[in-house]
Amino acid sequence: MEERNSIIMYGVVLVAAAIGLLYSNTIPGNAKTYPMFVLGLTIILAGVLLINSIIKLTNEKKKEKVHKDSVPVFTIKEWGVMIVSLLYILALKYIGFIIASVFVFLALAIYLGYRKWIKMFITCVLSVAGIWYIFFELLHVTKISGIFF
Amino acid sequence: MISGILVGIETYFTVGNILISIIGTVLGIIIGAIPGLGPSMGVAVLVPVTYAMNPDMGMLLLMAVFCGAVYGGSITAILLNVPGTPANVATTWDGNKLAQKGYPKKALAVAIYASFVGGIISALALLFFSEPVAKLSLKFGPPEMAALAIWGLAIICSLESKSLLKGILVAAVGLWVATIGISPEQGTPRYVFGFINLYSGINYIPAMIGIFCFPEIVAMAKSFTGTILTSSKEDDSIILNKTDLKTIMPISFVEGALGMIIGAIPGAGGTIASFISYNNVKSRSKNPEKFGTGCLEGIAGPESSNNGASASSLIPLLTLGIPGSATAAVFLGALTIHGLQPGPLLFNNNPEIVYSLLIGTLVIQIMMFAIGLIGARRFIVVVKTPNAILAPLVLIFSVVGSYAAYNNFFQVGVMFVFGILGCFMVRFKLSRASFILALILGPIMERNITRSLMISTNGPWILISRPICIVLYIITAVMLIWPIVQNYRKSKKTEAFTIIQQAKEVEGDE
Repeated sequence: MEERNSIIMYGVVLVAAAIGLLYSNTIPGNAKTYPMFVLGLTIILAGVLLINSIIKLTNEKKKEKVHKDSVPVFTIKEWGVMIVSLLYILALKYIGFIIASVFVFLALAIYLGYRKWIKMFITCVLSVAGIWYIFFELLHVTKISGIFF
Repeated sequence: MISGILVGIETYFTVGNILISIIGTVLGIIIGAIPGLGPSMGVAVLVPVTYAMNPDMGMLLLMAVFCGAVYGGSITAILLNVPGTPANVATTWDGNKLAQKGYPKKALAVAIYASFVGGIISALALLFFSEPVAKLSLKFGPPEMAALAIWGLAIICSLESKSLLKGILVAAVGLWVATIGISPEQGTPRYVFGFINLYSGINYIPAMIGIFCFPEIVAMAKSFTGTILTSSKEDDSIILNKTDLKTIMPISFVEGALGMIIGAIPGAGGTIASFISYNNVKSRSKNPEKFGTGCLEGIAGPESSNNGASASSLIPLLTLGIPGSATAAVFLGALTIHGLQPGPLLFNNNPEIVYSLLIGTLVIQIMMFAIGLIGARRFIVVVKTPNAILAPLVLIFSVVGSYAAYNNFFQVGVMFVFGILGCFMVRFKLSRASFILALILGPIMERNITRSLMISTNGPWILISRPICIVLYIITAVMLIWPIVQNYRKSKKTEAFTIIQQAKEVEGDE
């Protein structure tokens, strides 16, 4: 399964590098030389590793060592954390830092199984307030403000 | 140098600087002790905090956090068998075993003493060898800088990855990502697709926060931390007796010096130093079979070495402007933000700031020793923080840190994209350090190759004909080929051993 995932990864890199190389032709002048060299190197390396992985997978299949159970790249919980993080970043601009951060803190903590409600709420409020104060009040970083604050 | 040191002493010893050093050291120890965080991340997230400070104070805070975090990882490595940083993996092998035997305080004490010795050696190297290296660095022109960047990349590729080709592939992808934006010499936009924010290229601070912090946040989804403090025996103590000190001190000095040398090599770092040291100490020991069962040497060697690599990893950055590690790369960002240009002229242009930092590094090691001894048991409370609380905290810090770095919300998006990339890199066992260093060294390499070709009277031969370039390329080739040769020799030895074993079995049957 590892080899199968590796094949997919090298394949994606190979295709992306090939597209990048084709696009690089549109860059005027000598500015394209260096990126084209790097992309060429990437294509060669990805190609070699792809072929190597295919050979390994073929050999494993011959020795009947291939595991039939598929192993996901990430677990559902890990995907959940990524999605929550993305929603948090998208929400920041609209809802504002304080409310979005409080929501994501509570949401992630509950999602990851924390059930001590009072401790969680106090930690959440203190952490968000502390980060707000340090960055936006003390350091005068431009506030991320949304509909609320 | 003497006048610089005196200026540094005068600049450092103020109430503000001493206080910030203490605060930074405590913070660093806490950051290093929490699994999932580490020196790179701690320094990266705190860079925005230094904005409002004076440059000398800001750099001292980051150095204190860095040095503290390098040591702090040993706490969880010893108590929970969870290395706080990759450089503490080797510490778990004997540190946790000794703690499980009922001597957690002794194990922590050995780590503190060894870290102190390694850190002092590293700080002295930074103080006394930085300027001589800076003078030598003035001999580095564009071809030499290009060769140095290639050398740095080659080392990190060969040492960080089990597969050399994989390491080079990751570095190549990093080099390509570094070309996004305006080309350095021609001023032509590349791969911007009309996005104004991409004209300045991919900023490596949010990329680094994303690629190192985000996978840790996602990984915390896997486990909910429940910790049990190891019970300790009656004779367990943080005060080491003469026999123990006699055992660990010589090892700490030798491995600390080794770590200092390895740390000064661009691309190497504490992780590599700690593994090399563990192997060294074990191979020199009269009782190698004791390693892995809780012997003091197994803790002292890697701890001294990884702290020895800490401050010295900044020598290439301060003297040549080339970050030798991911943490050094963050320091580069911090120096730039404060208007300091690392490189040969840094010591001439800003002696009070640089020497204050160097003197401060020495003092920070002493503070780390004292704080480590005093707080040995109390730090355990921090590592009991459940991942469910830690994950959202780290996420919020990462987002705010990325935003604050450039006051631009686009950088938060950069952080997230590279965060997802980092998750895949961890999953497919690809070196994140190779990628980030390529992102940083790529523009240096391209700029200097282009300049070399501009000034050359004999075409591209200028890149490989200068003496320093030749030496660097030879070292690069050796660094790349040596692991292949070693693996080949190891496989031949194993083959020969197997044949001998089989022959013995056949003889036995007969």
